[in-house]
Amino acid sequence: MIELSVKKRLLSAEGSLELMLETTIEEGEFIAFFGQSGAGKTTILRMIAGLETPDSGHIIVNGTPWFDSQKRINLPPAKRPIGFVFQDYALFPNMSVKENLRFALQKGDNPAIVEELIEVIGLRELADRLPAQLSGGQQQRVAMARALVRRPRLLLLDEPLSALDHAMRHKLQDELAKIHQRFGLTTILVSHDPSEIFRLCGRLYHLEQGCIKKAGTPSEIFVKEKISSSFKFVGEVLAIEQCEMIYLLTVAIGTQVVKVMATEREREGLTIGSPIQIVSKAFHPIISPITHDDREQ
Amino acid sequence: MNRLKGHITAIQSSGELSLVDIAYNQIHLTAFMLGKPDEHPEVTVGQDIWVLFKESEVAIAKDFSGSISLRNRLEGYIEKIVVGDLLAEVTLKVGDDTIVSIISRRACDAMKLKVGDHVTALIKANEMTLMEYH
Repeated sequence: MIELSVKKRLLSAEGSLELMLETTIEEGEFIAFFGQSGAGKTTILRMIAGLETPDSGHIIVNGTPWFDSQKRINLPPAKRPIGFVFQDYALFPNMSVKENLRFALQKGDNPAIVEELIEVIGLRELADRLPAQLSGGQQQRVAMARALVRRPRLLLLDEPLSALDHAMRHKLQDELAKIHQRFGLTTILVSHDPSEIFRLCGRLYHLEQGCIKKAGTPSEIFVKEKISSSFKFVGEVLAIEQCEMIYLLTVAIGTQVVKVMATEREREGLTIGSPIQIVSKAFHPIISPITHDDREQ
Repeated sequence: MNRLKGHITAIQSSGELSLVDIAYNQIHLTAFMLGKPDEHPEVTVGQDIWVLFKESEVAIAKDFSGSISLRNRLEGYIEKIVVGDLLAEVTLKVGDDTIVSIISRRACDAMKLKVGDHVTALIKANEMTLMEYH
């Protein structure tokens, strides 16, 4: 069980922000911190990892204080048994996959774990390659394996899949779910992707301006409020073209770029880069199944 | 987006589907809604509500007779027509409100629509979106 009760003043582009968090995460949970960038999600992970120090409060993991401002306890990162996976893989470029994993071992660790991870995460054929010879998805699998070398009980994931394409993301999400199960981990994911959180997490915290705005299961947080009878997307205007008396907006929504028809009145006040909300009733969609092969492409 | 202020008079539900009746001036509008009514606290009988519908979903009928499945019919006068090569934008005065319809230029020509014509705007019930009225 992780007891988190921390406060930290953050400086951001929009000024300063008071990060305030008080919650408990049960052993074995897969939870997410969700929210816009600048909400403080990454800082929370970094405080748990010991890479940043809270201004006050405590972090207690299974009864052991990792941080306690009153008792002046602050374990260094190396003393906290965690695995951390970042968006950029941060592998050593001059070491092979196997060497990258071995390098993470510390004195007294059983080196057999390296072989076990190579097997479990399916890196056998890549074991002797250098990171530069791997695809983004393969590099991230290596980074995931490396995070597990020290047999952590707690895995911290900071937008680990956001640099990957859709198909690869899907695949690695399955992989993460498997790893979480197999190693009996407690996993904390930072993500701004509702579909990812849906697939992986039992519970999430929606952060806004450094505070928990909502907490609940993915369907409690996303379905009731956001989807129900309509599609609601938040996107960014990339281009505006006029076509007779209507306009075509090119909009980036997540990783997709779509063209949307807008009338003069809807276009008013929009410029390139404007954030917009697009709502559509759920009556229109034409639905057809896709085969596994389609998804792989 | 066309926007009319109405008043909810009835809600009929069947599982996850609801049909909402709205009084707009003397006119009766209907909107389909997905999801159970309790998921939409803003949609309750007696509430004022915005009814939204996209210009491109508004059909126009002139000298209309016979029966038609479209439940939402708004009678008005053409106030303005702007034509392009393919599209025509027809602005209607309906009571004190203005609504806009975007139809094909061909239809506009074939119907010989002109300013001052008395026409009926038709919108399917599933094109009507309800939004909380503030």
